[in-house]
Amino acid sequence: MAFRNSGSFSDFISRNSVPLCSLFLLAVSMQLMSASSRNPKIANSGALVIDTVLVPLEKGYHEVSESTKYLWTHYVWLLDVENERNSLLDRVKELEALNSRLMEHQRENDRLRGILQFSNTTSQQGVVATVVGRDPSNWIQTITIDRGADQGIAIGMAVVDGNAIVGQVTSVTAGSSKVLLLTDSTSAIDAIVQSSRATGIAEGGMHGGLLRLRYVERLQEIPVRAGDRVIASGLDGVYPKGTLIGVVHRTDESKGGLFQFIEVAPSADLRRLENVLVIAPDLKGALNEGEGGK
Amino acid sequence: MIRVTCIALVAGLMGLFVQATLIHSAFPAAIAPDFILVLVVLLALRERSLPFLFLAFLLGILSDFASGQFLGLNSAGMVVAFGLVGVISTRVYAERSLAIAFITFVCSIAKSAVCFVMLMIYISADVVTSSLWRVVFIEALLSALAAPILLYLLSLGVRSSRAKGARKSGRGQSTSYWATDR
Repeated sequence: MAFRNSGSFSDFISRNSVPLCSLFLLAVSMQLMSASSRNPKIANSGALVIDTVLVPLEKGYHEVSESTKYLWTHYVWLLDVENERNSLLDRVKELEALNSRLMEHQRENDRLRGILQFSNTTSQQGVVATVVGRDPSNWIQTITIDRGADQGIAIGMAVVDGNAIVGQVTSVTAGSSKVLLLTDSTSAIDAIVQSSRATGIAEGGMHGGLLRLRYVERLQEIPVRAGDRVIASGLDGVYPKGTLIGVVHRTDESKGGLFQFIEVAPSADLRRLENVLVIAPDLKGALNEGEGGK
Repeated sequence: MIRVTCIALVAGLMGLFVQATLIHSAFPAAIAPDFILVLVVLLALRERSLPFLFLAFLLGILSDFASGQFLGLNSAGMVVAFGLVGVISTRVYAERSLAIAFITFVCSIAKSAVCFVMLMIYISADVVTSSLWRVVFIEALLSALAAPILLYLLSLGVRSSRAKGARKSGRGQSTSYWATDR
């Protein structure tokens, strides 16, 4: 009987081993819980073991994650930034173009104001014209302006910029004119050295875009010096008297002869001409018309 | 058994890693599924034997170690969950993913209830707030969703491991492990 009882007990144990063990493990868990609630070091010691395994993984993940974030924020995300940058660059280009146009208008405005001031101070009437072309050859120095016979331009009219003489009109069409620059070898202007009142002829054709003031006598009470202003005498009937031609660039006393050797630098910047005034003394109100045409 | 133990422990560590790091870095305020519980449920579904019960207990201890606060809290929960699987799985067709998800959900709630009771007994009622039940419910739901996926991944892992073993010993490849070899 005892054997049978013992057998049935062992059978019971073997049949219910899992539930019984579960109860046992539950009891162990509660004991552990009780112990660890009183002494947290017990749980912490186990945490150290787990941390030795998990922390390197977590660190590795953190590094990978940070690298990915870095990659994302610095490269992938920058794709949008690049689009934005491109649109901003386009905008900058647009604004630069606009700014360039505005600056151009400003300069044009300054030039026209200069010309208008010249017209007011000299009481000369004329037609404002824009330089639209230059002679392609190096032998003849002419410019083409966008005003012609229709605007009252005629051959022989003087052309000035806001400051000084540019040349004279040599040919005219209905809508354009050719202006012979004062530096051309065929150009000659009756001139006066403003300080000494010495007279001469300012001729073109010198090297470096200079003029030569010829026929100035050596016997002058006041000698001609570099820096003296040279103006039109008005005797040639083309250029109004007093209009600036240029300044004396160099004189050479060593050269012999009856006349002095004087080089004059034109005051008009002939290489950068954009707007000019064609002086038309016979045209009443031509200046206003020219400005309107511009 | 050794292979299963190794796989379970590695999977448990991986689960802890995912819970502690991946999910919280991706979704800082998110509630993570309890992968250890899912693992215990899958172990219990495979075989309700003493070694597997101890393995479940061990995984619970592993989870306790990872939290580093109380020892025995999760282990008790895992033991209860293991036992509960035995009770439920006889009543549902546990081969189906939906059934596995359901069992996991119930076990997760039960485990949380055990943890709650143990905290009540050993710590203080103040620790447990009413909002915790919302967390418990969501965790159970997420665990239930994760269970079929984890089962699939484990099947793949064990199958591949067995195939390697079979090639070494010259035998043919066996069939699935978690799903059919019960």
